Amino acid sequence: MKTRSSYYLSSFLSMALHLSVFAAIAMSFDFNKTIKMAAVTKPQPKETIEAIAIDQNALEKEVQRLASVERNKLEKEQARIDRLKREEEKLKRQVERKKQLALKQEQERLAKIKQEKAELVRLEKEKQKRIEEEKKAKLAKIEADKKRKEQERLAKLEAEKKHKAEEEARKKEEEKARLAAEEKAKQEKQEALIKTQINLYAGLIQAKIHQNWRQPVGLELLGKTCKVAVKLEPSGEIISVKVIESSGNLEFDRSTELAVLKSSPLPLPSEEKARAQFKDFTFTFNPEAV
Amino acid sequence: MKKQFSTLVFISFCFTLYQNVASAALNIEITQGVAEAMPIAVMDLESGVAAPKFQANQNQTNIMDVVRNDLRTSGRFSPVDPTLPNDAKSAKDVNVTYWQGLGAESLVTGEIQVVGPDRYNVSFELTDTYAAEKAESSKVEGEDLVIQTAEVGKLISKTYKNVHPRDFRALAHHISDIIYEQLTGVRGAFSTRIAYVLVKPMLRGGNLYTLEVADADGFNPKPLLESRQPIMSPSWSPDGKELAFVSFEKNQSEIYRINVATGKRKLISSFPGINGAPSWSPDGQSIALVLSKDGNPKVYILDLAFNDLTQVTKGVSIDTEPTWEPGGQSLLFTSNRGGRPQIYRVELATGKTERVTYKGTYNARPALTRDGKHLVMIHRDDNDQFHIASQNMRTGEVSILTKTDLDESPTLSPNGAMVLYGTFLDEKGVLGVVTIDGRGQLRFPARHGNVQEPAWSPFLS
Repeated sequence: MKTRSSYYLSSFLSMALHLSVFAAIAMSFDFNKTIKMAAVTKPQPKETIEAIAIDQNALEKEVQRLASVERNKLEKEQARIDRLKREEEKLKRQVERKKQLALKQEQERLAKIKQEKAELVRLEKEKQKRIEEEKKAKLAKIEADKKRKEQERLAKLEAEKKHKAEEEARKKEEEKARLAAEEKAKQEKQEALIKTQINLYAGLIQAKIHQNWRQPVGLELLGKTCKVAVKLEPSGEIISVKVIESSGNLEFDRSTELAVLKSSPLPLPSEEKARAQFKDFTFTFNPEAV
Repeated sequence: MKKQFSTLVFISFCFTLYQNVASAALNIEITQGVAEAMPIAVMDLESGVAAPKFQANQNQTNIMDVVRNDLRTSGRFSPVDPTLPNDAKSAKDVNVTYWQGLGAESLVTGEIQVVGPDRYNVSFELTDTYAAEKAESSKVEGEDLVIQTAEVGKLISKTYKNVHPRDFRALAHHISDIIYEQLTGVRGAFSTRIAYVLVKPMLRGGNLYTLEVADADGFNPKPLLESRQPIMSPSWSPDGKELAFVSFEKNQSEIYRINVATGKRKLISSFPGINGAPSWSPDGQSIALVLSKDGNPKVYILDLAFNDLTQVTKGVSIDTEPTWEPGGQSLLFTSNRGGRPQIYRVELATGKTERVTYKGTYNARPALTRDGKHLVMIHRDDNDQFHIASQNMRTGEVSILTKTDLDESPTLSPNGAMVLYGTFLDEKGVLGVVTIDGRGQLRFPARHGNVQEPAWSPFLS
């Protein structure tokens, strides 16, 4: 993140660097010449020439040879100079490049520094923010905790109150249930007594009817069923006997009515509730296999 | 919460109460009794409240005696001693509790009054002694004795005017029919007749065979035909006016039809070989019979109007004793086609034959009740004795009806309640009667000679 001031700073620095590089190059340029010069003037070892009769051709040739050698030497030299020049340039370029690179690196470094700084700032800010938020959260939490605790406390009180009330209600219910169960047990006992009486007298009545039922002969008895409705006085005397579900056979039906009539009065229990069961009831005549 | 709980208590209370009773009301199961004939008090006819008790002539029938006998022989009734208590002048004076004390479930009382020379008015009343009790009250108003009990328990009462003494028996049987039907729901068969063969050994040797018709109780026998040769297998026409029977007068078997009232007869079958076992169809138009003219004895049907003969059973077995099933569409007959005598059914339209009896090694002489429910037959038991038995056509169960052995020729009363059959007593042929369930057993009045081959008439209107 570059601000304007940092831009100016960087361009100034860049310019300064460029100028210093140019200066360095200028100075180094001289330095190079010096070196070059030195290279050109390097003395060569003398060679002993021996005088002998030379052939003009040979001399010519030699001259030419020498000239060419000289030429070659010069060319070589020139080439060498060129080469050195090139190398110099190359070097210059290298240095230039190096400088550029250094500059760039410097720039980058600065930029990086700037960035890092900015980053640090940002991090710092974030950290601050986070701290702020944490603080806030902590406060909120404390607040919430406080509230919650308060609510819990109230709820607890409420629950205790409720619990107490329920306890009381339950106790009341239990008491009531206990009383009801006692009452029920009492009634059940009563009922059981009545039931026993009813069963006992039903058995006695059944036995009496069994004795008095003259079954018709000449009939197939198995499979015949006849239901008879009976009304009794409290004394056991029969008020009425009536076939309510016929067996389909007149004689069979009549025999069942007669069985009941012949058995009057029927034995009845003394207990009032038990006796009431016999006020209005039915017989089902259903002969078993003999 | 409270409310739910108390409702629960209430409901469970109701359930415990419910457990005590079979349903909303108490119901008691009655599964046993004693099978007995119905006790009935049949009082002699009285000659009215003010007049002295009617004295029957020696020759005149005591109507109520006949009624008592009819009811007793039916096997369903047990008449109690008809003696009035000491101080009672009339049966109507007697409190119903007296009859109940005797065990009588029903009471028959009646009156007879002279209205002219050999002319009487007869009335009777059938009362339910137990139903009458509740409304009993009697009061004396001046000379009138007003009884109110009778009205409540009264089942039926009838009056017959200008009756001649010679008709007293018939009237008695008629009264028995009415009483029987009122108390059992089944039509009485006391006014029916029986046909049978009386065999008397002759002094000179041999037997005299008489085809006789008598009242159902064996009284008033009337000979229809006499012969020195055997007479067999009488069979009634459905209108009760004729009998078909087998006669050996010409020293070979032939089948005749005879008018019971006039004695006039007509030959209807005289083929070579056996002509036997005639059985009149329910519509009276044809007779099933057995002929052996084509080989072994087979069952044929003879159309009486056109004299057409149709062969019904085929094959090499012996087929005999055909009897019609009530619809007239099929016959039952005895056959040994399975090896031993058993009873089979053949459908006349298709000729399809199926076996009917599976219990025992010998079943013959089928006689089917009108409702098709019981097949009465001669059945050989495990001890090789022949009894009259009844097969329940629905379940296939066979129950033996008679205790006597060497029983034969079962014939059913038209109401299906009784079986008349031939048996031996002291080496003499007699007729026995048994109720269809085997419980009531009686013997007919003995006659001079052997009585055999009974046939019970249909209802005679």
